Amino acid sequence: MKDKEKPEPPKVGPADLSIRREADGGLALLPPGGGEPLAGVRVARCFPWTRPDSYISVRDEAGREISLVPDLGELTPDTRREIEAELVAQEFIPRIVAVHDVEDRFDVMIWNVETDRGPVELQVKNAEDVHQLDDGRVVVRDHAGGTFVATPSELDPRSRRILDERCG
Amino acid sequence: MVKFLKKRLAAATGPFGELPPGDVLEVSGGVKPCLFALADVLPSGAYGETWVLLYERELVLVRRAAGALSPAGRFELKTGLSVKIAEGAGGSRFRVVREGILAAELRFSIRQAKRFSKLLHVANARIEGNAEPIPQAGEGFVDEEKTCPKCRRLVPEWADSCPYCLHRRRILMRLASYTRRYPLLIGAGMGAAVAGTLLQLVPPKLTKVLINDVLTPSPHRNEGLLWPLVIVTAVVIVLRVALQKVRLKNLAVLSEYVTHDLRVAVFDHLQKLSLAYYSKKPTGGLISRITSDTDRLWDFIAFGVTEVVISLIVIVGAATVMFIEEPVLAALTLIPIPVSLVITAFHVRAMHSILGRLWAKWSNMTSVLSDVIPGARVVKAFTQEKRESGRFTNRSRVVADDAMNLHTEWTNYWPKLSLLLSAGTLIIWSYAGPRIVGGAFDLGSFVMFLGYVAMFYGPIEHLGMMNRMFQRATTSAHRVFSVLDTPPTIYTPHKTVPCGEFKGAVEFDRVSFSYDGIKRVLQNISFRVEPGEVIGLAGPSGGGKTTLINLICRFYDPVEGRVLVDGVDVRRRDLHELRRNIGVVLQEPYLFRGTVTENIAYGNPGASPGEIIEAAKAANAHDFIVGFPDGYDTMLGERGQTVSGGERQRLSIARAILCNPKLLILDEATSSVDSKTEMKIQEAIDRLVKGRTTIAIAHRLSTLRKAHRLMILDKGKLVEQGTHEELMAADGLYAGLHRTQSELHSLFAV
Repeated sequence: MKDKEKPEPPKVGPADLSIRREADGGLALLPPGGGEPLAGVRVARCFPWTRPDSYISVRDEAGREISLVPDLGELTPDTRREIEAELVAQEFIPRIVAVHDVEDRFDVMIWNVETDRGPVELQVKNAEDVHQLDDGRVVVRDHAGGTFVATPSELDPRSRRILDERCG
Repeated sequence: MVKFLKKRLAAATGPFGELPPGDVLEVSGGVKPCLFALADVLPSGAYGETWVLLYERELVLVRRAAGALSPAGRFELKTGLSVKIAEGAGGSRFRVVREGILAAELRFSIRQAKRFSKLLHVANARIEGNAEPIPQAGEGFVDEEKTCPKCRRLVPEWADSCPYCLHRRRILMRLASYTRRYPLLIGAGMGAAVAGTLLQLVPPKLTKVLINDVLTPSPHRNEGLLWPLVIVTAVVIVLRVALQKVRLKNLAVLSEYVTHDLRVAVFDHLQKLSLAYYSKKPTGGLISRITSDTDRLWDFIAFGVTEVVISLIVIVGAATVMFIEEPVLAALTLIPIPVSLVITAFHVRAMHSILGRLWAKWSNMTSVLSDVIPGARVVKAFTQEKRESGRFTNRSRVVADDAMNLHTEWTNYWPKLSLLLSAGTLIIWSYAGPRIVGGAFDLGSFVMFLGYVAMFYGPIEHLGMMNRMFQRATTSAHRVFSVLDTPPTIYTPHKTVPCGEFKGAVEFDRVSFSYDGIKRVLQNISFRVEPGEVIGLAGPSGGGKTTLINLICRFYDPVEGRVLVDGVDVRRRDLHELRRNIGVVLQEPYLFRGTVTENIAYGNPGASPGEIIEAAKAANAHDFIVGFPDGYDTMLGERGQTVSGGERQRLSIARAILCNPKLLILDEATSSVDSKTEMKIQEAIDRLVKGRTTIAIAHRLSTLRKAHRLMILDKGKLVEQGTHEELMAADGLYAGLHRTQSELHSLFAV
C-alpha cells in the first residue's frame, strides 16, 4: 500500500537522463517529458571492485531503478559531472600507501598505516578481515566496517612484506 | 613531529569517551552537550576533524584546521531545520538543511556512523518538539564497541576490560585461586616436581665420585664404594621415576578438576544470561570458550606451569652445582645458554607468524571443499568439475609453498640450537682436556660437566616458549572469566509479587522497545488480552510481531512502559514461574538430540508414558510416531530419525500441550505443507488453544478467522484491531494483506 502512495519512478535511458543538484544538497531527476523534479535520487556502482566506472545504477529514494548507465560516456556532460561527483563524495575507501607496522594485541591487530587520506590506525579483529582480491589488491576491513585497499605492487618493500605476512 | 601528529590523529579519529576534547568544548561555549559526534573526513576526502555537538536547543559545529579550532556553524533546533544522513560506502554525509537550503554538509567515515545515527534521531525529535530521551548504553542496547579508557583501543567482544592493559598477573592469580580448592593435589604435584627435578641433578655428581674415587687407579682408591654407589644411583633413578609419576598424575588430575569447575561455571552462568547476550555473541565463540579455552587452560595447569618451574630448577640447579665444583669452567660452559634462549624466543615468534599465515591459507583451501562437496549437484549440473579442481589445486599449492617457510624455519632452528649446546661440550673438552693430561683437572668432574650440559636442551626449549604460553593462557583465562563476570540483565527480583493461580491475562501498557537503542521496534503499544482469549497477530514482516512475543516471555525487557501478566508487571514476577506457565510453539521448532519421549516431555520431564501419548494424540502426532520403527524411543536430532516440517510442528505442539500452559504463544510456520498435513496441524492447534489465552503470529487465514480478535502491527505500531469481519469492512492494511493471500491461494488451487 505504501507503494501506491509513491508512483513508480520513470524509466529513463542514459542519453535522456538529466540529473541536477538540489538546493538541499541532494540529487534530483528532471523527468524527460518535463514536470516536477524527482528528489532523493541515488547512484550506485554495480561492480564497485571489478569495473567501478561502468554500470552505474540511478535509483529513486525507495531504491527502484530509474536508469542503468553502462558507460558514463553516454550521459550528457552536466549529468555526468553530477553523477561522478556524487559517486566520489559518497564513498570513503582510503587507499593504503604505506604500512608502518602491525601490532598483535590479544585478538585485535593494530595496523598503523599511511593512506591517501592521511595517516590512520586500524583495529582489525580477524585474520579473515585481510584478504586478497583476484587482481592482487589487498582489502583490509577494520572493526567498524571501514574498508581500506592496498595495491602491493605499488608499495615499498617493507610495507609489502608486512602486508604479505598478514594476508591469507 | 610527524610521530606526534600521527598520535594526535589516531586519538582524534579513534574511539572516544563521554565528552569531546576539552578545547572543543570551550569553543562551543563550555557546556556539556547532550550528544556529540566527530565528522572525521574533510570535503576534500582527507581525514580531518569537525565536531558536531547537540544541545537542548541547538546544534553546534566546531572545526579544527591546522591545529586551531574555530566555530563552523550554529543552528537553532526549530521547525524549518532538518538534519539528514546520506549513506555511502565506507562513509556517509551529514547534512543540515535550513528552509530547504543546504546549510552544512559534513563527511564522516563509517567508524563514526553509530554516533551520528544516534545524534540524528535525537536532533530530529528535538526539532519536532519531542523531548526524546537520550539513548543510554546499557541494558538491551547494542552500543558502540567498548574501548579501553586507558589505551583508547578496542576491547575485544569477549572481554569486559582491555586485556592489554589488565595486569596479566591478576588473571593468573584468579586462575590460581581455582586450584586452591585442591590443596593436596597441588601440594603433592608441585612437591614431586621439585623433588624429582633436584634428584635429576644427583646422578652426574655420583658419576664423578665413581670415576674419581673408584675407577681411577690411585693411592686413595676406595673399591668398597662401588656397590653402595650403584645402589644409591639405582634408588635415585627409581625415586625419580616414582616422583615423576606422582607429579604427572596429581597435576593432570588437578587441572582436570579445575577445568571441569570452570566449564561448569561458564555453562551455568551462560544459562542465566539473557537472550540479548546470546544475540550479541556468535554461538561458535561461546562454544569455544567452554571447550577449547578451558582445554587450553588444562594444558597450561597440567604441564605448562610445571615445565617452566622444572626448567628453571634444572638450569639454576645444574649451574649452581657446576659453579661450586669448578667456577671458571662453569662460567665458560654457560656462555651459550643466554644466546640459545634468545634464538629460541625468536624462533617461537617466527613460527607463530608463519603458522598464522599458513592457517589462513589452509582455511582458504578447505573453503573450496566445504563449497564444492555440498554443492556437488550444482557443480555437475553446470559441468564445472575441471574449474573446481583447478581452484583446489591452486590453493593447495599455495599451502604447500607456504609450508616450505615453516620447514625452513624449524630446520634452521634445530641445527643452531644443537651447535650452540655442542659448543658447551666443546668448551668443556678444550678447557678440561689439556688440564686432565697435565693432571690439573680430574676426570670425574669432566664427565659430570658433560652430564649437566646435556640436561640443558629441554629446558631451553621450554623457557623459549614460556612467554607465548603465558600469553595464550592469560587470553583463554580472560575469555572464560569475562563470561563469568557478565551480569545477567534479566533476572528474578529479590522480592517477587506472589501471584496465586495463573489466569493468563496479558496487558501491554505503553510499551516501547528497541534492540539497539536507536530504532524503535515497538512504539507505545497498549492492549489487553482477557484470559481464554485467542489473539491473532498479523502484519508485514518486520512489523514487530516476534518482538512483542519476546517481551511477553520476558526474553527482553521493554525500554519504556510495562508488560503485565495477570495484572502484575513481569519484571516483578518470578521468572521461572512465569515461563513455566507460558507454552511456546515456535515457527522453526527446535528438537533436541534425544528420543521422541524426551523431546515431548522437555518442559515436563516427570510426565508419565500415558500423559505423553495423550499429548501426542492431541497433537495428531501419535500415529506417525508409532509408525517409526523405534516408536516413542526413536532418536531425533543430528544423525537421528529425519522428521518432516509438519511432524516437527506437531511434536512441538505435543510438547506445549504436555506443559499445560495457561498462556500459549504460537508462531505459525510460514512454509507451506501439503493440505492434508495442514489440516492435521490445524486440528492439533485447535485442541491446544482450547481454554488457554493464546497469542498467535498467524499466517493461515483459517487461524486468523478463528481468532477472537486480530491485532495488526506495522512498523512497530498497533495499527488495526478487531475481528476478521470488522477489519475486512474497514478495508485497511489487514484487508489488503488478506486479499493478496487469497489470490495466492486461488493460484495454487488451479
